[in-house]
Amino acid sequence: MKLASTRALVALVLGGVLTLGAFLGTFFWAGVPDFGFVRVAGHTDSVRYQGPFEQKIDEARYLANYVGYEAEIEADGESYAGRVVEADESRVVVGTDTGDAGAPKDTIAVADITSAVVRGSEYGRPDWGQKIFYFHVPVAEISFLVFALAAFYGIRFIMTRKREFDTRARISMEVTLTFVSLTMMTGILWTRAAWGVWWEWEPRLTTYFIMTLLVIGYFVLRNAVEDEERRALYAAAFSILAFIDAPISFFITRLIPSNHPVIERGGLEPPMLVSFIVAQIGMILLGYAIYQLRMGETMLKDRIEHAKTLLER
Amino acid sequence: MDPTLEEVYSLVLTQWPLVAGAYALLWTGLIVYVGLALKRLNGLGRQVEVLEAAIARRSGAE
Repeated sequence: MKLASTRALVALVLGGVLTLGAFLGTFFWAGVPDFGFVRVAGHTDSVRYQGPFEQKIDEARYLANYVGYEAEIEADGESYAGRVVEADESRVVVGTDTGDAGAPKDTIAVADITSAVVRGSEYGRPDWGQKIFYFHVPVAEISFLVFALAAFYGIRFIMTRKREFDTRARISMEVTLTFVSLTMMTGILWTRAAWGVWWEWEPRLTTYFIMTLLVIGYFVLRNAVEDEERRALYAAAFSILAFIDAPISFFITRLIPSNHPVIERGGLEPPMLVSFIVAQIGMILLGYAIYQLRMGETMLKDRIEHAKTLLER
Repeated sequence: MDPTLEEVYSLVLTQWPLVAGAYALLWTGLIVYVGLALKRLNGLGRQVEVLEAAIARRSGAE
């Protein structure tokens, strides 16, 4: 028992150090890839500066997005150059507004446009949401691993009917639930950051959501059956059947079209890859430590029950 | 700050609250879970010591 606790504490400390290192690597070493661009009217020197842009626009209402931008406008057969001061569905106002507060905004033209060319600067948009991936993926991987462990102990229980395997399966499922919850929470925030929505019914998210429900269902089932033997047997059978969803969820992004990103070989720069691998090792150690801690707790409870029985004799 | 740079920042930092939220949830979840497990483990360890000492005393008395 003490050895298991020591192993758990060593794994906890090592896992903590590695995940902290991965966290620092993620934010202070690994770069941030660009995810599209942003456009502004002015120009400033920045490492993200990609260059000037020029875009043709045919309707005044779209020019509303470009208020303050330099524009050349053709209206009523005439050409005007200036800055877009105001625009709506029916008209556009072009003036000498420099964008500075208090500067004169003399109107050059107020007209319906037939076409306009707007100019400004483009800057790379850093994909900050990608920072979530460094820990979201390892946490999800651990959830699959511990789920596999629960199914394994379920099989062992059915084969041997030893209570120990039922306990191990239950603790594995509890750890799975913890990691599944963390995966869902970080995943939802990533989805919002990357796709602009909180949820999408796409293959990976849907199958993982089903997996979450199955893990919750396991505990509902355990609580619904009173007889200890039957409870253990039903729970073991359920964990094996429920685990079928895990490989489906894991491989589905590679089998059918899905918006969910897939890590490709050689797809990460060395600092990103190292931080990611360190985060994975750290999370595996943390998962192991949590499992061992919970097992230690259960074994201590058994010892207490045993000691109480001895005292009552 | 340069107003253009300020505008660029306002456009590119929109994901930050979500990133911070994800890390806050992740670390809080793990730390609270491990902390509670350790606390329970310590409590149980003390109970075991008390009970085992009681058993040893009783065995000695017999």
